[in-house]
Amino acid sequence: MDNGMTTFHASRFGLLALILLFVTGPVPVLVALQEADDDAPLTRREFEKFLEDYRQFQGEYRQVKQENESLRQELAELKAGISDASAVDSAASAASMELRLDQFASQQRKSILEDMREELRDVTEPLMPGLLNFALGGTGVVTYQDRDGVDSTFGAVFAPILMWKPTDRILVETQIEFGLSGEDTEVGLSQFQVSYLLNDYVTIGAGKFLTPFGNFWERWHPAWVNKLPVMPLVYERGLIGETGLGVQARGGFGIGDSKFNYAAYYVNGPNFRDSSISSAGKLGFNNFRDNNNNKAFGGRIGYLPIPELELGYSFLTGRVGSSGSSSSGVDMFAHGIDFSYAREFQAIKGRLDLRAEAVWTDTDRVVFTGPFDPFTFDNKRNGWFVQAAYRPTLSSFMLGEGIELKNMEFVARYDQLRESGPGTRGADHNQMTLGLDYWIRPNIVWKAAYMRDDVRGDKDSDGFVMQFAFGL
Amino acid sequence: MNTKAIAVLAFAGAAVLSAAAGGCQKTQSSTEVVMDSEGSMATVASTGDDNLRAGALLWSQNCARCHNLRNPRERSDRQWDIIVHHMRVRGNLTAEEHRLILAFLQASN
Repeated sequence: MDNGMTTFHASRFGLLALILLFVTGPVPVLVALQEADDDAPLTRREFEKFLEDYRQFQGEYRQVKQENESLRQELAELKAGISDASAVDSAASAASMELRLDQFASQQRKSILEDMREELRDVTEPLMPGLLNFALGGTGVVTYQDRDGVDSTFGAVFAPILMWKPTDRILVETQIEFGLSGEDTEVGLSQFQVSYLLNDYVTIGAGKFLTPFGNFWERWHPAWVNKLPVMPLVYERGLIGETGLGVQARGGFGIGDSKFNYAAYYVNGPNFRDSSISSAGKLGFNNFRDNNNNKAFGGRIGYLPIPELELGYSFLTGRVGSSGSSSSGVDMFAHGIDFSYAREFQAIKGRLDLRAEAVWTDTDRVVFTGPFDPFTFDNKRNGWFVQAAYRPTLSSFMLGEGIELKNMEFVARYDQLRESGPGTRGADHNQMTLGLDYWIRPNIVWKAAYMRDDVRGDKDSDGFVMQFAFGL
Repeated sequence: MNTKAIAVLAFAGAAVLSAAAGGCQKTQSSTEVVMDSEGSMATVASTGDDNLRAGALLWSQNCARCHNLRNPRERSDRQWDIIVHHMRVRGNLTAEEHRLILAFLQASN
């Protein structure tokens, strides 16, 4: 019984020792053990247990001590950081904190709005499947021109493009053009194309699409992109048509640091005109119901050795004579080169934009007959243009209140056209155009231009053209 | 062989060679970003995202070659998705250019 009480007391004391050991460490506990019950005999087993406990507690103590030291070190570093921070200018520190808080709040707001938008989209999308995946583009333009030989007049065209993307690979584009002519409003289907992304390198399309010949029709002709209010002569005079009706394949890819793009198309092609002297030998491109079974084939390949520079080569060839007519065997071939370079330079405090194209067309020689004396000629039409534009985008100079120099763009273009034809119809046509644009927005522009026209054997048509244009 | 046939064959040959080399696609990144006055690059610069930076660079290089850069805030994500697809077809953008420019515009609107 005594032995049992002794064991009981020893156990209670051991428990107390454990608590003390956690709180104060092992050495004082051992001292306390000796002072509290010096006379109580310990069995060997108890002693060994105490020894085992002691070693265990000693290990835990070392671990706690290490953690403690680590915490002390972190605390010291924090204090040092706070001390450094307090040394920084208080205004800058406050601004920095405010900026960080603003950024954090902005991120939080954006995150919440994103979540709400996702939820809203999940709810609303199933309710309106026919209304989604549409976007509106296109252009609108009002023009005033006053040129020698014709009455001055205003004109207006609105040509929106409706884009619909029903799947990730399919895009449907339709452009309707509303124009004014005489006393009537004209409505036309400028473009209608369905395209399909076959893979990363090939997109196929079908419909009425802008002709991938040179750069002008596909990329530069929209009024808010064309920097002058008039078109280059080679396109205004119809050497190459604006659109083709058929199929095409196109794409782009990089090789090293350079890039290539291509387009190949198979279309109804142009038709041959031989019904009057004035139009004899010219080509019509609104060939919506082909005049023969032979389709035209064309293509363009572009090369960009650096991102700012593009060089291109284009061609178009096909039979143009109408089936069953005297000109049924007439073929045409056209080819051209194009150049574009655009870059901002610090040295000139602005952006330089250079564009140039040259086009050569050759249609088979025929003998024209009709209610006139038969005639023939070497049916070639060639032309080229060079255009330079400069916009001081890096200038901060103010021309007046709210009128910034950097929104002005200075443009110059030189055109040349050589057309062969019967009698005096053949023409050498040169044109110099100087323009000044003011960009109200990146997609809204006022344009003014003066043209100096020189037509050999015909009356010149010098003049002044103003235009307001916008892109949707 | 006449001029027409030579031109057609040259074009076809170039197209075949180009297509064969199509697997070597690489993003162009050799020039500095050219910005319009819309200031959208500030957003990109603060993100520190390499893809967004690449997208901004390609946006300025490809789009500004023909027209002024439009403010990314003009359109929603969905509209940019459609319009960049439209411009991929019209401007012969590569697939990578398409992806990166779209990601940039959708992150900056």
